Amino acid sequence: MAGYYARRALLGLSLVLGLTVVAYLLVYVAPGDPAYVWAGRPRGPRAAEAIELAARELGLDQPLYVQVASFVHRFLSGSWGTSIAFKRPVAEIVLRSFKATAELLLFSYLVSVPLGLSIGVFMALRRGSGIDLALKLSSSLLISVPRFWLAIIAVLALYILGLQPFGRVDPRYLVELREVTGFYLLDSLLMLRPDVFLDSLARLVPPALIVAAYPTFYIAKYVRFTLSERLYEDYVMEAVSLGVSRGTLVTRYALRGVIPAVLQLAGVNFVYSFVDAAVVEIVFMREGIGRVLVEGLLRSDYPLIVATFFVVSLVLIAVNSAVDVVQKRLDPRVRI
Amino acid sequence: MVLAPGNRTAVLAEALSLGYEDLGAVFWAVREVDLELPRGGSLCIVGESGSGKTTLGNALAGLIPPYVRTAGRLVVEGVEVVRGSRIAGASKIRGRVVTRIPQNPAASLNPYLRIEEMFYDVLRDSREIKSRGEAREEAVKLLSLVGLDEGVLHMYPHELSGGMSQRVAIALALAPRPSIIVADEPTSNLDAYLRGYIVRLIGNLNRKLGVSLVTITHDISIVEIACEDMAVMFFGEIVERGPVRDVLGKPLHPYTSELIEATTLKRAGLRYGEQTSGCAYYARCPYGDEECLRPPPPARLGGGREVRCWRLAR
Amino acid sequence: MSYARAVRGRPTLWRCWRRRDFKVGLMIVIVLALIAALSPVVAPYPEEGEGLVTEAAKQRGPLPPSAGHPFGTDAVGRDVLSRVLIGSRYSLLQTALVILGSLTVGVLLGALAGYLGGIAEALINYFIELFLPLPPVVVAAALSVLIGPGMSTVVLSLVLTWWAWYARIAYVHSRQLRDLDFVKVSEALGFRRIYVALHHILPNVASPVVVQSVLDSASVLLEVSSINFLIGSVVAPFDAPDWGTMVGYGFRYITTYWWMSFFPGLFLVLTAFGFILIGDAVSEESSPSLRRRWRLWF
Repeated sequence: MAGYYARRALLGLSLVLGLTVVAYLLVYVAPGDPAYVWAGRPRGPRAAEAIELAARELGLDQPLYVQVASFVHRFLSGSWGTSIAFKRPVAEIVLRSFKATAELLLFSYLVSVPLGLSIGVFMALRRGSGIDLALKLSSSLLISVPRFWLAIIAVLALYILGLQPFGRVDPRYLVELREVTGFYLLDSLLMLRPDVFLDSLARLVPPALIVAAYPTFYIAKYVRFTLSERLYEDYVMEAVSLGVSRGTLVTRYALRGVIPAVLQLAGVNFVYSFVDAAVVEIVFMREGIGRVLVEGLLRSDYPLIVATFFVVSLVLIAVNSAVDVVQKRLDPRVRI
Repeated sequence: MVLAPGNRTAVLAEALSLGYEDLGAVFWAVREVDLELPRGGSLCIVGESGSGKTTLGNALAGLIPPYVRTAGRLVVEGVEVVRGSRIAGASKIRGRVVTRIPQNPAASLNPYLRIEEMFYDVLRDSREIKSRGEAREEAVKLLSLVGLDEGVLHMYPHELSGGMSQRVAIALALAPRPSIIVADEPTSNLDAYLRGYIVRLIGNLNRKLGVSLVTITHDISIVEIACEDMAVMFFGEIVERGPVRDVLGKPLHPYTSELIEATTLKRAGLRYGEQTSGCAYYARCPYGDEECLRPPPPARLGGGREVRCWRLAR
Repeated sequence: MSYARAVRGRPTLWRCWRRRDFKVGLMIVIVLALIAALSPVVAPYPEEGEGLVTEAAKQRGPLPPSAGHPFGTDAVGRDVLSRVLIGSRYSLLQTALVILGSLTVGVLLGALAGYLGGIAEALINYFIELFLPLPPVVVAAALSVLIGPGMSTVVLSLVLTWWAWYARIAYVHSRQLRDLDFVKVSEALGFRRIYVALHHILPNVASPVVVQSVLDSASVLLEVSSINFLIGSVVAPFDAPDWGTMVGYGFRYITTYWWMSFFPGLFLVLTAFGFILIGDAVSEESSPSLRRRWRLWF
């Protein structure tokens, strides 16, 4: 067991290292002049100055091994340079935005995993019936709707209704909000301000439900499919023949093997929910990774984008590793 | 459940057919089978793979999934399980009056649960034993019947050897205190030494505990040890049945002889039967003639023997 | 019916063909492929569809949907219907390129990793683990700054992340094949390993991965569109006629000219739905237990 964790941790560390190498390549092997790209493709009278500054920051005049060493050191210690768009340290902006996106994503998954699981079980047990067909078709349809478009339609509908749930919290509250965790739902509770909590919740729910649409119905369809297969497994049939009751059969026999698979699926699809979160944030004008990318793209803010890439990939690697470990723990057949 | 007084029949099948539906067409895996097993009796159903014996065994154990089509009649311990296309009493008998020893015990034990949990689930739902301690005691008793100690209770199925999981499966089948046990290919995954042990163990369930026993096998060598009566199945039909000693001593149907003596085949290649109107064995039979294109009538001989072959009908 | 037919059943494609959802999905995809092929002829204003702001468009300005312009005209007066029709070519092309690119890289590397074993296996698996969690939208943003935004950037950034998914499936299958008899026999007969890999491993590994790529073609389309939406809502030249970009471009005018985003999005939904219907039918018909009739029976 300990051996497995050690190996998994080692793999995780080596992936972080590999990620740093990829980041290095992105920065130093830029086509054309790396300093020019790092400086944000400057134009105008002060361009030469900015490029020179970037070259010095990257250490382009130094020998290669010094470049690599200083890059790795800087990247792993979190000094990622100054954002061109925001004129503030990249680390600060990326972490702040990341927390905003994480709040949205966590909320979405807290809704979608249990909901998807329940809908899936319901469909599998009633497979072939009218309600199953209707649920299956609507799941397929909801998966087909691009989340950014769904968000636009939702915003339009809310706009027509006179509601504007934009941003993370009413700007009025922003001054008084003390950021302890960076999750506004938690911060407002810590401040004992139910009004702030409700306000930020009201602004969180519409985008979160849109982001949740994909994992919910994807999981539902997957559970329907997998559970339907499991219901004919030898060991389920055996339990049926021994007169085990329906509830026990479904939960302890058929569903037991499905849950680790659902976790893994959720882990794999987390990457794509991240993309959804970014675009939905843009539509709802929320702070977050989506906005960082938009600003970064507008101003060719390369340090910001590379740092975002690094942080987001890091978190996704961590999520994948965690899912791996949990999945192994749930299966007694795997000797770890 | 209430038994009709004087009811001495454990299993009664009359023209029972079981089939699988696919895209509207039905493949009948078991066709118009007649069976009768008295209480406390033991019956072996012998046939090659694909002869429908597992489908029949599952139906006797009340395992009739929704994709199975039925016809005819099946009565188990006075409960009408199949009547025509209706499946009514299956849920009343399975895990209550009849249980099954599965074909592949390693795959039939839930890989996510310890053996103890499985016993608890079965005992709680079939015998209302709610307390875990009581269930545990009962499980230990059941395991000792099959020669296992309580150490097994803490293990997961993948930690058991083939013989051990077979014995656990037998103990589980005994847990609901059934009056009938269906053993489906109980020896298919075992080595020669264990085979003898398991067959005797299963035979003793009938002889010592008085459980009515249906054993399904392709291995004609275990029939004598396990059962008193036997039925030979070919391509969904019972071609011959009677007391084991008589059938093995003087086989009347050419297929039975083939099973016993491994007769050289007249026609090249091993073939399954076809769903024809005539005798299913015709394609493989060394004695076949034109008459076999019509279905052979059952010839009832004395001493409980019955054969479906034109040679004996004449 | 013979025993073999009863056990094995009909081939999957034959079964799919009997299903209504498969037919509907196929119909949608065929119609869209036809639209993509014929759009220069079918579109009422093909040059506007390609992005040109014609004199007529300039005079027209943004118009709501009407008989002359069923989907309205965009902020600079171009016919949205023409843009959507021409856009089908770009959206479908990018989807196809991402799938083909990822399939080629993924199947090749995955098959080699599973078959060769040793250092190659460890190395390729490491790269799979490294690339699988990379967020495509951020990769696309980085590449857009590095080599400029455009269709090739989007395709490249998705292939970079998607190949790992196919490689993992290919790896699992070729791992199993490695130990099978016919592979061992070919090796024992003295065939070179590269020959065995190409003739025995690759064809057998390719089919499950190709099936998987059919199943997630809708996801690829939506990912392509998401990235195009994000880039399109800021930096891309707004004449790129891809559906995602069009929704992104229209989003800037959402409260006034809603039809600019609405119609291209509708086509995205329709296309993805077509792909998903086909995928559903294929995955259900290829599973023997899902073909069985079911009701709650225990």
